[in-house]
Amino acid sequence: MKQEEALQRVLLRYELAHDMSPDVRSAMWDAQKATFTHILKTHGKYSLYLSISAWLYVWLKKLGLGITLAKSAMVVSVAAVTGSIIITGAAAYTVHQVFIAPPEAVETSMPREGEDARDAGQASRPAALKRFDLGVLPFEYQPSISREGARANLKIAQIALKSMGPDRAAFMADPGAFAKPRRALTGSVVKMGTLYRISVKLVDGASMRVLSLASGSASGEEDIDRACEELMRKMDLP
Amino acid sequence: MFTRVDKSTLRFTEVYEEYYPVVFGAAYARTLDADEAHDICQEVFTRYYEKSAEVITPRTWLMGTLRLVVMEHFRMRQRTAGGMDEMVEDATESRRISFRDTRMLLEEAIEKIDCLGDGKDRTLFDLIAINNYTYKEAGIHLGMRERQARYRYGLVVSRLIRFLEERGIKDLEELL
Repeated sequence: MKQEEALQRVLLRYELAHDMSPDVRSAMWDAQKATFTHILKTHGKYSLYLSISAWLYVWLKKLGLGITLAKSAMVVSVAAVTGSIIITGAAAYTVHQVFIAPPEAVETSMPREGEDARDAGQASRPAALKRFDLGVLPFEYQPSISREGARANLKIAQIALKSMGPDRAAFMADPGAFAKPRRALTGSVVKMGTLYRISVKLVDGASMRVLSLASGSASGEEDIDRACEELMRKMDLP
Repeated sequence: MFTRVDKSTLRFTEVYEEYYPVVFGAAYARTLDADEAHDICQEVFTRYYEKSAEVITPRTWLMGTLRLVVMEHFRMRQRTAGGMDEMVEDATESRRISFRDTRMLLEEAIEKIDCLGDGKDRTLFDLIAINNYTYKEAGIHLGMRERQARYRYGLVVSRLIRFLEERGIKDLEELL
């Protein structure tokens, strides 16, 4: 440090150095920008691209990264191209999502009738929110007759699906996973001695009004299928 | 919007960014007025832009043109030619021979900085030693960190002192 100070004194002594105050240095920075713009504008070479490149060049130098102006210009070009691609892509995506593509269905984990539960986690199924004409809902029965109750419920669902087709009817084991059907088929199974009393009612999905009602008896578990077929004939589903 | 920039403009911009503070400092040393220094710099770099393709060593060309523009500047202000030359070329014209010899020796030593370094050393020296910039300011200008600027300036000073030692000046204090 002593060497530097001694040299400074020598340079001042021989009038080779001069003191430039911070104000003058600050004025110099301003003048530097103004002169640069003036010269290039005078010669018709001033452009936004050059201006941004020069700004980046100076800014990187201030950070201690001494790259060339050509490299700075290259960085600006790459950034401009990348920015254009991103903006174009975002615009195209927005137009597609908002104006072209229909709204996507909400993904559900519930399997539908006839599908394996392992498929539930796969891609979203718009059909899950499809509004069916008829939905067979879970029947009510006591836990002690769960096997017989489930058998009656499934038989009713099977008959309904067979008569109306899978596009119009569905077995809705979890009604919350489906859109509200136009009509719902629900029922109950009650054990009375050795008989099973099966009741089925067709309800309007909007008003919850009972559209039709039927009931029948099965003499045992083996007789449930027959009783269900007879009941569904009475219901006469369209 | 993004038109291609030709090589001459790129080269001009790099030279401009590197040498503007040096030229401004030299102009300010002669005029002691920031506005006049600004005008002189604008004229020097305008001329450089027009001749940049022919210029091999920008620094030498710029400093030579600076002297010329300063002379023209003072002539415009209707100063006497004799007084102008004194001011521009050498303010110590009438002083003792030993003073002038020492000054020439120092100028020679400063000129040698460029030969030994990588080009930036001379600019660093001009900014710190001649124009009184701080290490931080000089570092910002040359794309270095403050620590790097301090270290490189130390090396430049050491080289300069070694040069003077080879010419018989063992201690800088002798020159004071």
